[in-house]
Parts: sequence; C-alpha cells; structure tokens
Amino acid sequence: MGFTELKKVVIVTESVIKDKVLDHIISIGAKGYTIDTVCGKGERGIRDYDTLLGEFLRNIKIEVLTTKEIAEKIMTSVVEKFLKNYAGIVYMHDVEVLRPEKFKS
Amino acid sequence: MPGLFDMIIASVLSPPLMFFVLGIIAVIAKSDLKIPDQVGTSLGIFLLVAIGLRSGVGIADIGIGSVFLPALSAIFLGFFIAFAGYLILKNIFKFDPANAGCIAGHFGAVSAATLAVVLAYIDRADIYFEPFIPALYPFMDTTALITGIVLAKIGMSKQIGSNTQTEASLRQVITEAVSGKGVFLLFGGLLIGYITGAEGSKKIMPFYDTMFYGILTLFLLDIGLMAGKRLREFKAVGASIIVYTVVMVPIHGIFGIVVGTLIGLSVGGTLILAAMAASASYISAPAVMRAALPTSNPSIALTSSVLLVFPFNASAGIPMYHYLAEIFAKII
Repeated sequence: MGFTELKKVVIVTESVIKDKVLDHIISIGAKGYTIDTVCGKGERGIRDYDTLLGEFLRNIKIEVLTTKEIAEKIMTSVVEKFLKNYAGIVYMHDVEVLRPEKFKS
Repeated sequence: MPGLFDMIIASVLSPPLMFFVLGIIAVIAKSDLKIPDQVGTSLGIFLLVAIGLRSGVGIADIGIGSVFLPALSAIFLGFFIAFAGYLILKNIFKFDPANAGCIAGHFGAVSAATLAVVLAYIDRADIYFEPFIPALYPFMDTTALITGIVLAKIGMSKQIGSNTQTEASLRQVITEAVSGKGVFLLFGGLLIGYITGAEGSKKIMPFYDTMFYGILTLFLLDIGLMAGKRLREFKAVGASIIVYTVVMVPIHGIFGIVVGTLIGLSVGGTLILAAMAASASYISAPAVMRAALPTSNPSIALTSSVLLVFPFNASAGIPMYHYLAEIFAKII
C-alpha cells in the first residue's frame, strides 16, 4: 500500500452551529469528518463551557481529510459563511493517508 | 397568612436557596467543589420529568378540557412579555434588533429552577394549586423564544445594509425551541403521566415525589456554581439591563397574577403562573438564541437571568406574588 498526500482542514468554532457547518462541509464534497469538544482562548476571550448551558459557549473542533481543492473551498467558504458572526478559526495541514478512496470520490 | 416579611425570610432561609448561595460562595472561595457534568445534566432531567409526570397525572384527574384556557393564557403571557420587552429594549434602551429580541426572549421564557422553587414554596405553605399548572411551562417558554427571534429577524431585515443572510427559517427555529431538552422532557413526562393516570403511575411516583426536594437542592447548588462563575461577567451586563431587570421582573409577575386571577385559577395556581412569567430562562435559551441570532450576545441576558432574576424571584419575588395573589383573589 502506498501513501497518498491529502489535506486536513481543521475548523474550531461554536457548537451551536455544528449541524449547519457539517451540512455545508459535506455539500462541498468532503466524505466525512471527526468532531471533538474543546476549549481555549482566542480573540473573543476564554471559551469554556458549562454543561448546564448545553451547547452554549461550547466549542467544537472539526477535522476533515480531503483533497487540496476541496480543502481550500471548505476553508474560504466556512470563513465567509460562518465566521463573521461566530467565533472560530480554520487552518490546514499536509497529511499522508493509506486507502485514499475513503477520503475522495 | 403570615406577614410578607416573614414569608420572605422563610424563602431566603429555605434549603434550595441556601444551596444556591452555597454554590456561589464555593466559586468565590475557590473551592474545588464541582458537580460532574453528567451528574448536573441528570439532576435537571430528573426535575423536569418529575414536574411533567405530576402535571400529566393531574390533567388525567381533572380532564384535558380544563387545561385549554390556562394554556392559551400561558401562550399569551409568553408572547406579551417578549413583545413588550422587545419594544422597550429597542426603543427606550436603544438595543439593536438582534440583542433586543435575544434579551426579550430570555425574559419571556421560563426558568425550570424557578418553577421547581415555587413548587417547593407552595408545598411548604401548604396551599392548593391546580396540578396541571406547571405543565404550562413549555407553552410560555416556546412562545417567548419564538416571539423574540421573529421580532429580531423582522427588525434586522428592516435595517439597510445589515447582514441579510437568514440563518434559520422559522420552522427551524420552532423545531429547535421545541426539541430542546427542557420542553421535550416536560412534554414527554406530561404525556406519560396523562396516559398512565394516577393508578398506572403509582409505582413510579414515590421515586419522583420523595426525592424531588433533595434533588432540587443539588440542582440549585449546581446553578449556584454556574452563577458564581458568571460573577466576573457581571460588569459587562451594563446599567440598562440592570434597570430593565429591576423594573420589569416584578411587572411580569404582576401580569401573571392578573391573568391567573382573571381566568379563575386558585391562589396557588396563580402564584405558579406569576413565578413562571417573572422568571427568565438561562439553561436552554442562550444556545437557542445564539444559533438563531448570530449577531446577538446571549451572555448579557444569561448573566442577568442567573445573577439577578433568579435570586430575586426565589427570595422576595415568590412571597410577594403570593401576597398579591391573595389580595387580587379577594378583589376580583
């Protein structure tokens, strides 16, 4: 099995818009994603959640493995569509994967 | 009936409220006390199911017909408080539409903790209430949230050059408000209580009845911890919200008393309706508002709800509404 180069897009944003962001990512062409609950500090101060408040103030980290072309499209469109009003950052890494058919069509 | 002052003292010194204060003190004292996440959620679930079940059994007893008018009144109160609040916040306090709708929605919505506290109060005072009244919570709560969001969206669309992207259709908003944990569990419990009736739920009710007040104390300890963490945000609340809170919360309570008395509820039923009207949401509303109104900052409403509205209602507010409800019942 050979290694294939792909991109990993990471989106850290507010949990309240999780479903909308995920639908958006899939509509652009990503085949899947991985999500984690995170907290941290940024431009909008420390974001740490309280379970009593449910999704409010909770941050999530979404990771998507995909081709360079789709990765770039995801990054620019997520910034434009969501990150004007919601807290968040996006960045991407180079990654190498086995079984590339899992990540691109 | 004891004097108003004694009633307030009794409320302040009731276990649930003292546990709330204990939670705040724990944060100030930097105690390592923490209620584990899943436990906190479970306490809330227990209370909502207990309230829902009890109301459902109550409706089964009385018949569903008698619930119609009170349910309409709860919808009216939720709508009216959010609608008036929006106009006041936007025109007098000069908030932008998104934040006016967000705050008005929070104040029109209902706090489950306040509902539990007023039920504990009524139990202590040993007064009668129509058993289905607590089930009116979702009607008032959902109506207020939707009213706040819709008004904010109308206000925003009127502003030229504002962000025109509509993030959620009305249908999405309603789905989100109704599928929220609080409303869902209350309705679910209600339905199960109604279907099974007093006879069918005999086996499960002791679990909910006996443990209700004990669980309530731990739930309020958790809310106290959350309130304590928000103390440092209090500066961000601003004078206008403090004025709005101090003036409007008792007025919301009085609206509830007037409506409750007019539709012929008992003093106990009127008191619960008034406490729900006076209360402001802080558990489900912030996330709903943040999702529906991206330019709003629910932190302000949340901090005010948990640090001003809840402590006021749980200490002086509820005895005051009780006192007024007794007087109104005699006049009307």
